[in-house]
Amino acid sequence: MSARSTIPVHILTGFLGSGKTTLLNQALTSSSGFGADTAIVVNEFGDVALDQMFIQERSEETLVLKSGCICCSIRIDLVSTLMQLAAMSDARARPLSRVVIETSGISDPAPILTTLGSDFRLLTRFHVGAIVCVVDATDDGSPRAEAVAQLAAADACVVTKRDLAGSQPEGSVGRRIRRLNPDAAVIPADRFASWIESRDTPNRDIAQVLARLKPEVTAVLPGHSVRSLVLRTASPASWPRFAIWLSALMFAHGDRILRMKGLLYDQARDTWVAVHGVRRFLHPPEHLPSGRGSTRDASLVFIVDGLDPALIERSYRQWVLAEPDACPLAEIDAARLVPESTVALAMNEGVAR
Amino acid sequence: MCSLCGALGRGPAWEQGGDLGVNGRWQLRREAMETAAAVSDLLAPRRIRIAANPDHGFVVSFPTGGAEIVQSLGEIWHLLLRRRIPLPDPLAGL
Repeated sequence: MSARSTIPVHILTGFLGSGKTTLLNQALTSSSGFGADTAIVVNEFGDVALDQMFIQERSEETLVLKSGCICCSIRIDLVSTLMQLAAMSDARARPLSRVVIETSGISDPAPILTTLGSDFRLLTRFHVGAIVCVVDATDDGSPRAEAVAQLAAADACVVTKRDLAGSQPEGSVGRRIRRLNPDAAVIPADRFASWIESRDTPNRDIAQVLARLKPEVTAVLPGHSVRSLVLRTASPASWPRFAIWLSALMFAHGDRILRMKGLLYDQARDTWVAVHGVRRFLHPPEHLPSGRGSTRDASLVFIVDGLDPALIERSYRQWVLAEPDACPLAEIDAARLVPESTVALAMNEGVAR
Repeated sequence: MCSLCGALGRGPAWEQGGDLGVNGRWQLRREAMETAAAVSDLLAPRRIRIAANPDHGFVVSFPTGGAEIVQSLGEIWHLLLRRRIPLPDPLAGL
């Protein structure tokens, strides 16, 4: 999807008390921080003086898609807020360059992504930018499920409160991030704004990303069933088969796939294609310049919760790499999904009334 | 723009989004039809047919005669779920 004339929407997430607002405030007040072409959307009523910015305070109205589950929620408040910003941008001499949404500490970013990717008005004006997760260096306990989902969804992390981390080794928080989300960049707090600006347009160094990913399955956190899988394998010979496999996998198991990223080589077009998704939301694929490295293998990263990563690897090899008639798709146990749909329908009827 | 964009993404039509050239356009059409045919094979037991829509996404035709236009493969799965039709599962049977 070539939509770079649209405004990027970046998401700043992180668990309660991790320091999101402080980080944002620093980025707004610093001379090297965001300029007046950056709009901020806060999830809660803010008391930070952001005199350069627009602050849109919004409620927590949520509408659930008829056929969706909770991670497919459409946030109607967010739609109206962003459309207001689009109108304001049109009226300004200098249009907006980006929007940054600060989520609440217990929010899962998936509904925001779903909203951005499914509302036709938003699709014409905005595209999904980067997700940055703020990680508290002093929080060394077993994180809550919400915090795991936030970190898993991130493209980059900012570690806060390093000075308060006490006896913890400097690298321990970095290792914790790397185990859960091996592809996430760790950026210093003072580079948050510049890093976000650099991600207004896709900016991936293929060779660097490929070199960083090591094929392995990692048990991420004690007390959690979260695993990350880095799969290095042949790129798909058939894009239709890959598209069907990926979309069906994410749809059927999106509640247990916290994050998916992939770099695949398109031999016919001599280009790299990046795909990534959070739960049931798949970003539009990105076409990237041909990498300098000699490898043409695909790299796929899955961060899953309660799902055996080996199944995903076997499924890819059978479904995407095998002969067309060698691997018939079985059907999912629909009963696992139907209750969610029933709930969604009930909620929708409530909204309609 | 490639067939993957057309299958996974939303918004642009199969054949929009860049200077494809004649060969690129035919390649897109071929891959779009291959995608639709592969999903049709998958849903053949349910007598559901999928066609690549020239403008956007896919046309899903049901055995009762109804048809719906969807924008992506993900919307096909949503549609099946809404109609209580069993979904394909890449992990089942492994």
